[in-house]
Amino acid sequence: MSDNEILTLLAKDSRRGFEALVSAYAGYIAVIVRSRLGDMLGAEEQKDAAADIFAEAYRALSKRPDSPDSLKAFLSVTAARYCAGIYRRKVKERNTVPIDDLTEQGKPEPAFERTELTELLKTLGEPDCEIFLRRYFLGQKSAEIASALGLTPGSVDQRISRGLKKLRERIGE
Amino acid sequence: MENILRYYFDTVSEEELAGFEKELESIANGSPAGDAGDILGRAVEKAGFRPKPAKRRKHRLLILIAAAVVILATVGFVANFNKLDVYFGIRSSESPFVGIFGERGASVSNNDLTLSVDGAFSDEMFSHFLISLTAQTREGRRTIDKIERAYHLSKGYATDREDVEFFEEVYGHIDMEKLYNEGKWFQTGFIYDAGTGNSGYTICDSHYFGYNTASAFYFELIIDKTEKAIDPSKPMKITEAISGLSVEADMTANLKTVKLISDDPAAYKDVTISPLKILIRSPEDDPFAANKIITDVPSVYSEDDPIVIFVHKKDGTTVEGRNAQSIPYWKSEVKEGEPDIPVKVDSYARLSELTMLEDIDHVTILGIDYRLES
Repeated sequence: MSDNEILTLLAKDSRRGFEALVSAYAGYIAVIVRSRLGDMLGAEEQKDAAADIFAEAYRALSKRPDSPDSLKAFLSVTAARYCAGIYRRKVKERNTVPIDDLTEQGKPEPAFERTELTELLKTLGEPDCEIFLRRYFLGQKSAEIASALGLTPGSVDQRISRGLKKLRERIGE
Repeated sequence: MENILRYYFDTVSEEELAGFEKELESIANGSPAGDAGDILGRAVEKAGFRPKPAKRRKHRLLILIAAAVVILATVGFVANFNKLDVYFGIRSSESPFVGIFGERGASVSNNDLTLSVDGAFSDEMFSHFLISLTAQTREGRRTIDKIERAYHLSKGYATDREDVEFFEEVYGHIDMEKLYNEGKWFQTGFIYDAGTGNSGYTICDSHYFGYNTASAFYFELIIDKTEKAIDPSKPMKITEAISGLSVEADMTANLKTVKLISDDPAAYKDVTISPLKILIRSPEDDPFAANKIITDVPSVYSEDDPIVIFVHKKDGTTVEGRNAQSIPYWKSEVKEGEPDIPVKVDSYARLSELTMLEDIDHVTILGIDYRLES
C-alpha cells in the first residue's frame, strides 16, 4: 500500500488506516528503535517503543491540517525524536551524559547552513549517503551497516572517513 | 564534523529528511518484518483504538466467567448464610412507606408471617434500601442478633467482644462510621417485625436501623438473586397460606393502623398487633430478664432521641428503660424435618434498675399509660 493510499484510508477509516500504517512501517520503525536504543532497551521495550512511536505519529497526524509529503520522513522524524527523548532520559538516569550527545542540551548550533549540509550529503552519492544516514541518523554501527548493504565493516569505515573529509572540505570547517 | 552531523540528524526536520527519500526507502525495504504483528497489536491499543471484535469476545467471555464466579461465590455465601429469606423494597418517592417482607417456607408452622413496616418515617430518613431479614433457622436468627449486637457495640452499648468477632467473621469488617457517612445508616425510626408466634401472642418486634443497615450491606450481595422486588407504591398484602391470615397495611400510616383481614374471625384471636401488650419478665421466667422489660411495644432506638419506657412503681418512683435489643426464643427441642425457628422474638428495654413485676403500677410508653395485665 502506498503512502497516499495509507493516508486516504486514515482519513476514511482511522482504524484500518492506522493498521495499514503500522503494517507498512513496523519493520522500519523497529530498525530505528533498535539502532538508536538497542543498547538501552530490551526486545520487549523496543516493541513498546515502536508502538509508542506509531501512537504518537497517529495523534500528530490527526492534528495536522495537511498530510505529510513523505510518510516515511514524517515517521522517521517522529521516531528519531522519540528515541532521542528516551535516550536522554536513560542517560540522565545513569547520571552520565556523553559530551557528544549534548546536541540539544545547550550546545550551540554549529555554524553551518542546514540546507547546504543536506545538499552536500546528497552529493556523496550511493552508497555513501545511505551509510551516513544509517550511521548518523539511525546510529547504526559499521557492522550493521555493512550487513545491510553487503559491504565489509572496514569498507564502511573507510567510506565514512572519506565522506567526512569531503564534507569538512566543502563546508570549510 | 561528526558532531555537526549528529546535531544535524538529531534536529533534522521532516522536510530535510524527505530529501533522503531514496535512502530511507532502502532502509525501510531492508528492515525485517519480524515483530511487526506484535508492534501492531500494541500500537493499536496505545493509539486508543478498541480491541478487535474477536478480542472483545474474548473479554466478554472473561467477564462472563468472572461474573459466573462471583454469582457462584455469592450463592455459596448465601447458601452458607443460614438460609435467610430476604425480600426487599426500595423507597418510592410517591410513598412514605417502604415495606420489606420476609417470609418463611411453606412447611413452617404458624410462626411464619413477618411484616416489616416503617412506623412514621419522614422522607429524609430514607435514601437507601431498607431491608429486613427473617431467619428461618436458629442460626440465622442468632446471626441477626449478632448483627444487632455488633451495632450496639459499635455505638458503645455492647461489651461482648465475641459479638464483633462473630459479626466480622460473617460479614467481614464493616466500617459503621463509613456507612453512616454514606447515608446508609439511619439514625432514627424503627422497623416492625410482626408476626404470630407459637406462644399464642403477637410478636411485634422492632429492629434498629443499625441492624438493617448491616443487612443492607449483606443484601446488596444477593440483590440479584431474590428477584422479588416489592413495589412499595402499591398496598402490600401478605397472605399466609397456613393460617389463612392476611394482613394489609395502610401505606401511609404506622403500625397502629395495620388492619387484620381474614375471612375467618378466629384468625383474629391470637393476632393483635397493637402496642398494648407489655410483658414484664421476672427472673423466674427468664434469668436474662431480671432487669428488663420485654415488650411488643414499638421500641425505637435513636441515639439522639431515644424512646424511653417509664416504669412507674407502686412506691411512686420511676424506673427508666431504654430499648436494647431483641430476644429470640427457641423451642427446647427441634424434631427432624421441623424448621428450627424461634418460637417468638421479643424486644426488651433494659431498665435502669432491677424491677419486680409486683412492684410495678403502670408503664408509660410514648406518652401512653399501660396498666399491666393480670
